[in-house]
Amino acid sequence: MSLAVEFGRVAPYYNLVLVIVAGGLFLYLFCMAKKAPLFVRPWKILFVALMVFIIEEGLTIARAASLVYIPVHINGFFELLIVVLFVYALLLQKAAMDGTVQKRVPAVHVIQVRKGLHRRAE
Amino acid sequence: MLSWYDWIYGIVQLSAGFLAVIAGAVALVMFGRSWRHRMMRAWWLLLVAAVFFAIEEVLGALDAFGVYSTPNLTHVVPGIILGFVIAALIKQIYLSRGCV
Repeated sequence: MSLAVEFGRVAPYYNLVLVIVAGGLFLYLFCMAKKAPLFVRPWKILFVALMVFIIEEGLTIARAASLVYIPVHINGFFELLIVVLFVYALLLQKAAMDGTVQKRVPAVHVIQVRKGLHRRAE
Repeated sequence: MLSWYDWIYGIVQLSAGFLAVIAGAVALVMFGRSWRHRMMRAWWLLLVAAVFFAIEEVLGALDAFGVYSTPNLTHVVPGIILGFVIAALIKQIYLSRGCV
């Protein structure tokens, strides 16, 4: 068997590992977003897209291992959902860059700014 | 004669491919703008992932309609996309910490 075929056979497995790494980084970013002034909504949408991809890859692996019988065509529906979420996240970030989206600033950051202003007044 | 399932599947594939091309086009427009904003530099990597995603969806649509089939490539490209997503996340975390 050629290298390309073998690579294609193990691809769902290493994709799942990469997805777990990405999921961990997403959760770390969301924890950081509570303290940093970061517009996190597009990243949350991308996280949902990642979850959909995890489900799709899980089904692919289960199908390859003959654990379940689900036609391969079902992947198209998952991919449509991922594309829709990706486009929505891109457009949301673009709107944020244009300044047409109201960003929620973390409360910790607001309190720190207010304390800074209070000190300057004294 | 096509069944209703074939119709739905074909429409879904075409929609996904078309939307992916739109996403790729939006990503290309945002390239220049994201580079100017410091906090947006992580999105540059995500935009590269969006372009690869568009390629993946086009390949999937071609495969679904029997025009061109690359069963291995359609599994390898998501790995590349995930690599760029991980890089974008790490970059965004560094930017949020103020390290870059």
